[in-house]
Amino acid sequence: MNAVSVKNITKKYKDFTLDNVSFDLPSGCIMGLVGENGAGKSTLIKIICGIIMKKQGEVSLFGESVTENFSDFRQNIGIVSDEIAFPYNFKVKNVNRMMNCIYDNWNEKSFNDYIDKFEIPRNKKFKDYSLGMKKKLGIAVALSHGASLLILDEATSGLDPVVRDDFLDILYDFTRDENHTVLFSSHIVSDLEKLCDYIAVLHKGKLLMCEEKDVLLDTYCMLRGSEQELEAVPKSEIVGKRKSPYGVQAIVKREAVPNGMAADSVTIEDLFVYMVKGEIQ
Amino acid sequence: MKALFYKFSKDLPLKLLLMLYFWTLVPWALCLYGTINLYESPLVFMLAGIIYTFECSSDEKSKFNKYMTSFPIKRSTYVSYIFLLIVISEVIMYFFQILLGILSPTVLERNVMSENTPIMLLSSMCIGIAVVGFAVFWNFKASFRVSGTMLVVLYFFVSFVLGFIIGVTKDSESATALLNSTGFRIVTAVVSLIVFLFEWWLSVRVYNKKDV
Repeated sequence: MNAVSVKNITKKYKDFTLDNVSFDLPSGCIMGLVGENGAGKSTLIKIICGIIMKKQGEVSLFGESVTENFSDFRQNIGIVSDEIAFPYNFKVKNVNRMMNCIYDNWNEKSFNDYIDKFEIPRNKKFKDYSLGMKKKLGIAVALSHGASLLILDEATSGLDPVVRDDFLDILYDFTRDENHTVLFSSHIVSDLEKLCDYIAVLHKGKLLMCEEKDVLLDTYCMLRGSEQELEAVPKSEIVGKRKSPYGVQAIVKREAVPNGMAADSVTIEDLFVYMVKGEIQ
Repeated sequence: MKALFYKFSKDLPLKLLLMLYFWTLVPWALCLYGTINLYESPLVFMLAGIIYTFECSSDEKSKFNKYMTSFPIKRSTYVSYIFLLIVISEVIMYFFQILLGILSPTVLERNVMSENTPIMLLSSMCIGIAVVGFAVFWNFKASFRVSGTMLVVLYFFVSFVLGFIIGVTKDSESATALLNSTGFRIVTAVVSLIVFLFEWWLSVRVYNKKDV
């Protein structure tokens, strides 16, 4: 079953259009949503969560089409938005009490365990938290009500590398249960590469691709050589290339590599940058 | 709803202090120094609905409102919470007005206050809810400054117009008799209730279709 299924989602703003986006995210998988600033990642996530209204298209969560009553579905979703904002005078115990009123399956013990694990100060007021602490509190809330689906919008930005690594481990543990699914947008492509089963690339409101990470890494490779050597590769098979005084680097489909040319493996970050920028001088 | 009221209760002492300061002590001081004739203006009651504005700082409020949309709270619940907050604030205000009446420096003011308080409360609740409801919707989309400024301007405008009308009509004995009659109060109460329910219904409908 697909935990998230998005079909032909379109949302128009004055200066931006999220254009006909469709993808499926199977249960038990982690999907990374990559895109430059303003590509439409947050818009897409907000539409999936029912925070903003789509112009057309269909969102299905856990196999059920969602047209209204998003709030009922949110009992089963943990959302970490780009900005965590509790009332300034709230402490950890107040957040705990408030969430206890909101979520049917709120797990106080689990919440307190995450608070200890993330070393969030219990006696500090929310207004005195650093950006990282706020993010960690948001993550603790999202993980403490038995959600089957986690939706994370830039959840790791603002976290130091150690906490980020801990957080990725937590996500990894979370998806060991095959009913648990994660949709994760981030600028830190290396985080996505470590964790994700699927990668979706958004560019200027369009979904450029949505594919299994291993398939992507198998399909594409990096070629280095002179411009003449690269002319042997059909243009349609080139994702993007970078010219420098020392030669040309290009990401191409592995099957299109000419005999005798050495091909290196690519990273998701390279693939994303070359795909979005095309030809880099 | 329980969660939202939990948040409200967290800083209730501060809100009560603010209300006491802005809506009782300040008007009383102004009255004492003869700057305004408080009993001729429903300004204080108009301001009562502004509790939502004082609920927390503008930055905190707009961020929190936005963040709350990611939780399983129905939009209609959120709108209803704000409406209830306004009603509660008006009721608290009523008691502050009684206190203000007791503190009033002249017997005349004390008498007029006690006679006109209920009617002013009801009519201002009606208008106040409409204005605050309007501001709340704007607040989600536009910046707080825009909605907040509009809110304050509208409050003052309505207050002074209404204050002027009441001030004028008080000169006439028949108008005073009408304002103080039980029938008029009942009609005002019923109209207020109908307007309140209509505004709530309309707000829920509008907010359900609104991007946040």
